[in-house]
Amino acid sequence: MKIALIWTVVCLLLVACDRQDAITPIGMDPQIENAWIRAAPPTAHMLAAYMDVTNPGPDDIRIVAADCSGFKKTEIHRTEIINDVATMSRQQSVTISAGGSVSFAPGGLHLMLHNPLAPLKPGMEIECTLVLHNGTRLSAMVPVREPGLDTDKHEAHLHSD
Amino acid sequence: MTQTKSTSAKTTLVYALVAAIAVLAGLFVAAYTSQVRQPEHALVFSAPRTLPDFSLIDHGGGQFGPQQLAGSWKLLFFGFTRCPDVCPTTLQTLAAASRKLDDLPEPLRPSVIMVTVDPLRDTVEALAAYVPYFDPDFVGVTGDMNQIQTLTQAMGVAYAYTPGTGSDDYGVEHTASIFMLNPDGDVVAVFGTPHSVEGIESDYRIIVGNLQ
Repeated sequence: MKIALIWTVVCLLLVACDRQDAITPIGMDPQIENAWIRAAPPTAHMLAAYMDVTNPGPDDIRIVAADCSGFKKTEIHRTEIINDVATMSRQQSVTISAGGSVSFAPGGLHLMLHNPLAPLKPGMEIECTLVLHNGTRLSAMVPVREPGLDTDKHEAHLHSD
Repeated sequence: MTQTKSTSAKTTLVYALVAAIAVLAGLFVAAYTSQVRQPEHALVFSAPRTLPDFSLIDHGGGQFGPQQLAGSWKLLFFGFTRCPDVCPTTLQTLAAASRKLDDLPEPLRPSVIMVTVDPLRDTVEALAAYVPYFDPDFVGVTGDMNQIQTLTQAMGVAYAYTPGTGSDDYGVEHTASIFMLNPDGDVVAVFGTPHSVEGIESDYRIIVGNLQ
């Protein structure tokens, strides 16, 4: 009876340990903050989403994909300006070191939003999801903002799966 | 002997006068140059650069050539409407800087122009629906690629097309500098990257003040 009980506890512990989220201490999940989409003319084919992503956990994480609802395609891109020439390149992944954060901001990393299925208006909120290397999905409702308000900090309404 | 002494005294007096004038002139130049403020971000050319003749179209369908560049101060840059990050940021920055410069007398306020480096997709209609969104007074310019090249080459602007994942989603790498033109339509200064509203506003005021 005692041995059976010990085996049951051991098995339960092994199952628990197999689930990464089960051993992540509370408050250590990656977070999306200050997210916003730049409002653009109704005919715009390309838009950009910006945000800060923090990783308070003990391990590095990698963002491997992104998806914003209402667009034909979402890609992770990085703008670089070298000798005053602006170049943009698609990123296969973005690593956020343990305890670190990464800013998606104008003139740097951004989510490139291709071909909106319907025109976006300021005040609307779009659900954007970041997919991490371990399959975790981080989602946030991201507000569309008028040009000229870049310096404001707007909190996204965050939820994660 | 007396005459020699007198000549010597005269020579000394002349030297003293020359020295005094030189000191005064130096002080005057120092005082004058200390009043001439220099821009912090923009590079001002030693002499205005005249552009060659070119023929393009503005977003209203009107002719856009050297005559349209003349007549007022201009801030001009090259971009394209399918640019999600740099171009809207530049337009937004210029819109905010223009609003801050609204207190200047009208002839000194800048007109803002975006010349596309993607004329294949940036038609007159595409520019009309895009550029004025950031400020109703902004002007988008398109036209034949060889005419756009006349401008890019004269202004030292680089651009290159980069393939996308689809046939119609290619990107365009391009010089992101903002050029400042005087009312003669000549290029007088260039704002390199990164751009800030405050930097453009402040340097614009200084350059206009120094050159007008």
